[in-house]
Amino acid sequence: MAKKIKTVIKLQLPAGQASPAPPVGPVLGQYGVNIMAFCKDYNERTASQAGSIVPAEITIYEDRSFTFVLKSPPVADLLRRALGVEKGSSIPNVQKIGKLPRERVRQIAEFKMKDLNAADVEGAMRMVEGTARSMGIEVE
Amino acid sequence: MRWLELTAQVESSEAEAVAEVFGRFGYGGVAIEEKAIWGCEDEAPFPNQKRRATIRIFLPIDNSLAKKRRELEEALTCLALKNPIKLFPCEIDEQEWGTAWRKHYKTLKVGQRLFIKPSWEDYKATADQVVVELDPGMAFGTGQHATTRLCLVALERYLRPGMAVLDLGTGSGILAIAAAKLGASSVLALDINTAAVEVARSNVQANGLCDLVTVEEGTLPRDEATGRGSFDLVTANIVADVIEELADSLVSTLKAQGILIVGGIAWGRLDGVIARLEEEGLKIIEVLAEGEWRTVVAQAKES
Repeated sequence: MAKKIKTVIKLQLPAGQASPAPPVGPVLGQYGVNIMAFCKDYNERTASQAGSIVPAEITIYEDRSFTFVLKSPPVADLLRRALGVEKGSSIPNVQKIGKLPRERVRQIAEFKMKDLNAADVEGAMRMVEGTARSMGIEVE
Repeated sequence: MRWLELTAQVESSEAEAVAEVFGRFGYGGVAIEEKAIWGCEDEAPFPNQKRRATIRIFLPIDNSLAKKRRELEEALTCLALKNPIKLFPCEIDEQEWGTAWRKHYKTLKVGQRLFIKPSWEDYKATADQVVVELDPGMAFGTGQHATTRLCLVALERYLRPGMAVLDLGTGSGILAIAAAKLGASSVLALDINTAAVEVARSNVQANGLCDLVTVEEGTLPRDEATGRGSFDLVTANIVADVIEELADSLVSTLKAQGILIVGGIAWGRLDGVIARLEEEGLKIIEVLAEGEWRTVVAQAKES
């Protein structure tokens, strides 16, 4: 059908744990999206990736029907895994949690290139570095 | 419980980095909404727009709120963005979000006697009314869009009991189900989208029509036995490009004097679709209009 798009929303959620609580309920509910149908499908499709953040890009059509695709994990998730840490530093400018070689930053930037809206790899790397900095990770 | 909703407007290129910082503090995750003027599916958004995104998180209002907000603001400064991020706070009440979205849907009257009813609403239909039970979900066709309604009106007007019906691009199955409820003897519903086929099947089942409506993944042209000249009425509520491309296949599925209902046509494409159908030897009977959308009803020749 002439599926005219109303909006596109990306939700970054823990795999297998979508529920009507925030952010899913209030964000999708305002558009009249069937929350239970989304949660059920998201949880089924991400069950095998438990422990990761798996973004879902949801396209909402003008008649409130929707579809969604899963995206690769966010940069912070990749950085955490690259360093083997659970979370970023809460005082990133004072307390550093680790160091990452530039080559690794490049790999992550290349992997995420599609999702980052960056013009080139250098631009994507700057975004990855920005995220790393905000987590207390030094790039060397 | 109350929640603090925090939003920030950022350039699209900064969205990912900002969302990751937000996501560290938000309850349950983070939402990123691209602000753009969207067209139809498979079209890129309107070009040359300055792409902006809204990042949104929710924090429970409790003792730790002030600390979390301070930490969030600190972490945002570490991103060293060109423009500092401005946070917009808004307090909201806890709701039954699992069902609150339902308020957007009421039983909907279409045409003279068709009613589209969500499963949670009670509706006592009179004997001459036709009720299609349908919950919105992951397939187009909820009855909330003009193009669906126009096709339903045309279906109600031209479907006679006992007709064999084909519905191409069935989506939620709404037209196929309505056709069966209006008296079609059999309905074949096709869609190329696997998810839509599943949704349509479960909607057919919910309406108790498994013996009348068959849903299959696929499109036209079909093989001789199940396609050519076997349908009294064919519906295709898709989009002008697809209808023009498949016009010959669509027409070939019609019996003599069979009816073709095509929808999803933006007004600017109407002349082209009509010309294409006439080229295939159809006679245009009626054009239905609502807003920018057009639905064309055409009839095949006598033999």
